[in-house]
Amino acid sequence: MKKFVKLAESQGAEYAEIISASSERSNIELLNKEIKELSSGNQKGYAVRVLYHGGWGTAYSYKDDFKSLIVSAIKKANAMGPQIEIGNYPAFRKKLRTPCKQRPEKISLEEKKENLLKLDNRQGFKSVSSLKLLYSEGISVYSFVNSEGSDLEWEDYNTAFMAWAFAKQNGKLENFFKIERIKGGYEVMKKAKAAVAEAMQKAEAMLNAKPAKGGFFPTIVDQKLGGVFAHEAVGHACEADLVLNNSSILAGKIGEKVGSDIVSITDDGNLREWGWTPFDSEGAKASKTTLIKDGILKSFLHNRETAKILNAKLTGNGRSQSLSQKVIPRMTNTYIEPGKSSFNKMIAEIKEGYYLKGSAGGQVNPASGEFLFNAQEGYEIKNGQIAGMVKGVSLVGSILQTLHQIKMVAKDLELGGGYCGKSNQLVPVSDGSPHLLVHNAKIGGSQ
Amino acid sequence: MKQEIINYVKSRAKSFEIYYSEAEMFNIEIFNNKPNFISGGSSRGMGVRVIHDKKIGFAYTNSIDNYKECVEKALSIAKVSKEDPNFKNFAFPQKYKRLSNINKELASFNEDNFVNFNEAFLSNVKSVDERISINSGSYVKETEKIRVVNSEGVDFEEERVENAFDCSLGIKFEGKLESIDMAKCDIKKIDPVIGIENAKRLMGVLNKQELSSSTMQLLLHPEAVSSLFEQSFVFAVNAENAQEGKSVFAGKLGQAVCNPLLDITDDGIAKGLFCTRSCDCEGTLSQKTPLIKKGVLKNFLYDTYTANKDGIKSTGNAYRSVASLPSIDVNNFMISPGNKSAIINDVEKGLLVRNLLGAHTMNAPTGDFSLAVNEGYYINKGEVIFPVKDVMIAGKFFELIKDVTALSKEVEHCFAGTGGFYVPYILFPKIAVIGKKA
Repeated sequence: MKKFVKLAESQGAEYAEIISASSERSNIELLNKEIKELSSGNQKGYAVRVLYHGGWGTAYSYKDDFKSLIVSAIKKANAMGPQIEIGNYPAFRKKLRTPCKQRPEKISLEEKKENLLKLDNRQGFKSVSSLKLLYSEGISVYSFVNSEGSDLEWEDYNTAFMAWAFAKQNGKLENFFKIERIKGGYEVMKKAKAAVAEAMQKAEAMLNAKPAKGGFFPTIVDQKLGGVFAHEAVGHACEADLVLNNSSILAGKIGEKVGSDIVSITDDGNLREWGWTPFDSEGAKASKTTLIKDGILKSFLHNRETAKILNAKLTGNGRSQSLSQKVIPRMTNTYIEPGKSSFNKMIAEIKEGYYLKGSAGGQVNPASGEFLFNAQEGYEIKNGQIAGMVKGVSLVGSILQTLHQIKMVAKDLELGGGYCGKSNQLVPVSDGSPHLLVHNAKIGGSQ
Repeated sequence: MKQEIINYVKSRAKSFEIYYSEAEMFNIEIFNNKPNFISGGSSRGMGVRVIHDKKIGFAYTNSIDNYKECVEKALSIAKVSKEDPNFKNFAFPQKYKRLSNINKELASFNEDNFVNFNEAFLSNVKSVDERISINSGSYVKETEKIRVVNSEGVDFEEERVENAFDCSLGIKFEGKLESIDMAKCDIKKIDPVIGIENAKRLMGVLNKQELSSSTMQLLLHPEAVSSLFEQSFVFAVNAENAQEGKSVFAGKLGQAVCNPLLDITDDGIAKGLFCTRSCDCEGTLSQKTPLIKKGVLKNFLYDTYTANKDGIKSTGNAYRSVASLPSIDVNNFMISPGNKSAIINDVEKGLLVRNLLGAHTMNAPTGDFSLAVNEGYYINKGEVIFPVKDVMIAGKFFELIKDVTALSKEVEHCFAGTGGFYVPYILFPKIAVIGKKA
């Protein structure tokens, strides 16, 4: 592949990347012990990315005809005027393999199916009307060489398990899902039994949940939801492309106090969580990037293009969903650093408020700073005690305000995996946090 | 697709289906007014379903030369699967009529054409106010040829070309950033002139103000109607969800589930619309399926498998890619217009909502939602008073659609879900609005 880098350069490319990627995926989906899907497949792709006359051009195919891909990538880059420059960075040569405790390809599909079937045990869950169980695995091999002389190969393993339970009673229908995702192998199934029980138990409990009251309340958010907070309220607005195109409220605020003293937020692609990105899509090495330290904004997340414009350190956050898409600054594993408090101390503080857990997703408008995240489950807190369950609860905030409203940060940091969407691209990320107490949180409820 | 592939599958399985696709695509990204990334390429692949002893196996590959390996994989998967008594057959052949959306002008549209479009669009935007920028944007065009061959005799080929453009327009105004998202639109019908309309829209959201919490009327713009219906309603009319007891509409055929003002149809054959196609991904002819008539549930949407399970004919709503099994989705989703030409005049005190933050977070099966208003306007006595900020709305979708005041005469095309939502403005009598602290 290296000779094609030279070939691209000889045709005038200022910088070139030659990439090949292949993947094998298998899925098993059960619904009420019936097999809905048992499938397996493989896909291969090849791409050339060039910076030519100041524009990015990419050509890709299912064929490894790099010669014609180079011609096509250069032609595409040339259709735009010169705009982009990038810096020079050291080369990396490395072969990586995601560590697995149990290599998934060593276990037969039949055994995996049988194990999944055994997990559907409804004993004690009378109201559960439907249960979907899903196991999926992916093994991908990614090879990358570039003009700097980097030569990277990554054999990546990822697995996921999902349980989605529906409960029915007196005409009421509720549902709850639990997903476990790891960079690793079949060991993900160790968490499956507990995940199934939790999905069924929570789906049933939701039958008796009432709508939340809308308004302003002291609110505790758990690690998952706190993680979504770090992601939506801070992470996106720190992505340097948004900073550069007038889409981030945090633009120009490095060194300024943007949150309370006890808030520190980090993005770290080195952690072997779901957002593990030892090297990004441009071959840059992962780094631990402090976004906020003790309430002060410290840095943004970069790809090659934005690091050059802002004269910043390359952070290893250039990512694309697929070979065909643009590499843009994205988060990897983003989390709020642990503090000194505890969940028990927090709850004791609250006379009337909410405890929100789990994430049903979130979204931010990084320009206005308004963000929303939706809790999977919620509980009223009354006089320092957890009271009844509520449902359909979201929390809304505004970046510069809400960060100041974090009054307590616990020690119990946890991270969890999911997917983040931006510019029509989904990438795997992890978010995490300890329990947080947010003063005066704005809760959306229909009661 | 080579005949040898079909021959090989035939020799290995009595009952089979091959889904084959070849596609060409290009994608352009705009950053700070100008395109600065162009990519293009080709993809292809095949997905094979085979039946062995009433058990189904599915495998796919894009290494077409290794098709034998893919077919053998599907067979080996079928062997370890479980017998499915509900699986009766693949789709049966029908008389296919070409309805596809191939448009010659669009088929020849290339990178240079887009760069020119963008310049004209930008100059229109700037003509409204020099300070406005295209913060970011993207254009995608795809030409795909699919072929479906199965053991019941279906052999169907169709080519489609589609494209979409979306962008975010922004302005720095009195030290604050304001922006609007121009939702995806179909560039074959658009003119750079939409730059003017959307730049004016951006100027209309400057000076956003807070609103006090209360209950008021809710007027949903077609974009917001699409995103709410795409999440919850589409889930509920999916026959698979109904059969699995996950739909609130399960068992309610013939019953009133919406307000009598609502008439909703899934239409796969309407001429020239975005999701119009001769037949679906299994080879079932497209049709027009009434879903709601005067508030009464008329039909669910089916693919072949779920239709067999209910002993009826598929409605032609199977969607898939090479790497996935068919799943049910809407073709052109049409909510019939009402008779109000200026529906805003019917708002005494209310909120007009165009864009919601977090629509994908709503609980699709139950319809519970609690969302932030990203673009909305406070309306008093039929007039827009100011654009709002920090406002949430919360409610239950399936309750909301039971109580409707009016629908507008005009209908807009929105790109929610599969891309073909044709819906009016809808006015609801009340919604819980959570605004500033009293």
